[in-house]
Amino acid sequence: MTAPKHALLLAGSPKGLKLGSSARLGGLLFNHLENRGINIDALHIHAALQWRDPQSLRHAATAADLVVLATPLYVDSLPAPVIWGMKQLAAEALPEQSRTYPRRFAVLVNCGFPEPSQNATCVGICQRFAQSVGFEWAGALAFGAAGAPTRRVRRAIELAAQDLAAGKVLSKETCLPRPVIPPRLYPLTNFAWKLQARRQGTKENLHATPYA
Amino acid sequence: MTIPLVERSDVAEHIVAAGFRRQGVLEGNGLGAKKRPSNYTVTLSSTRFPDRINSVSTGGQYESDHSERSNRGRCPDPSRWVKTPGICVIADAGRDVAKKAIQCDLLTFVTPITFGGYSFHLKKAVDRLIPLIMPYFQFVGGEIHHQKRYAQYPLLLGLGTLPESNDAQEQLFRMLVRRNAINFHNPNHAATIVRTRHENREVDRELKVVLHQLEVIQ
Repeated sequence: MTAPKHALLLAGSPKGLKLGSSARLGGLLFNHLENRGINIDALHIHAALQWRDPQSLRHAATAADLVVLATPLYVDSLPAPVIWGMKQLAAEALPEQSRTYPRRFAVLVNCGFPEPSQNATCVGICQRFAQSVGFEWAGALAFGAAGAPTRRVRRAIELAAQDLAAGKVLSKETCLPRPVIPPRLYPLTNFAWKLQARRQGTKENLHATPYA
Repeated sequence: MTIPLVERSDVAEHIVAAGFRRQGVLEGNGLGAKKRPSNYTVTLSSTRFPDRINSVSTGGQYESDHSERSNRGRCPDPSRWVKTPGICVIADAGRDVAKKAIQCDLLTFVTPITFGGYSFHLKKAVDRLIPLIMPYFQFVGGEIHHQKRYAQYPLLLGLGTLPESNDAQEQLFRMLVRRNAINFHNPNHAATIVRTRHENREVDRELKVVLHQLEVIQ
């Protein structure tokens, strides 16, 4: 176990480093890491793709000994630009023999469904990526309910920061916290979509089937 | 941000999101849409695998489109789901991906397996399918998923390629296709993995198994 000195947050949401649930939760995690004396840095993968700048991604990852990907779940997997980012890092997998300490990789993923277990495929892909690139797998934080920052979620992040700062793998309890909203109640949140549609003036054609 | 769905420079990656229209068997089973047009396809940089699928399933038709201009997309934000119901908020040719996907009978994802999942290029197309389902939630198989938008969805076939056997990645790929089929309400799905070095006849053999499983061929 080696405590990290420099941690990198890779934001996988199209919304950037400030907006969006995954970036917000990732920011919370990194605040805890910074409070524990770890140097932190952050990079928006979509921006690196937009500017066709894989080098910034590779340089940032090279400089860090802990990389945390904070991403939303998109269609049971990672958003496409995140896969691009992973391929860029894999294309120049860093020579492990040149390092005297292990580099570690963890993922924080949130989905719009209540069950955090629906992130399992995405977590599996991240684990395979870590293996391919030669990162040591540091575990996953998986949240449901669009990353609602409840007390339990904030506590899980705090515990995760403790583990990561100590060079440990995230504990199982941290990896898949129970749903913060009982799934049977989740369809009640449909009213929020109706409300949004009313605001947008699209309530009447929310069920549109334009390609039927 | 504009991301081309297919870049000419990436022809080494066999990326396809292909929609096939089947004559005969599917319609005979009542799975085919009666009023749908007869040509489909979406995005590809290699014709090898769609050619094989077409050949094995007999009678299907597809079109290939290598045009970068007509295959541009951007990363959607699902929270803007209600702004243009059923249509991606990003007004570009990427909207065609969803349109063609819902209008075909057999939606096929062909991709080099990338860390157990889809490649970047295929995932760009898959991310554009989100408008095909409703934002509303419901229980499906004991889990929460989005409700159907359309009465009918295509069969789903995942065809992954790997240079050599890799149990962990293959298992993950099959799981991903299965999960996608739940989320996109595909009435049936199958996944298969072929080696990139396989000859066409070996690819055909694998395809026959899964197309039979999907009842596309008998």
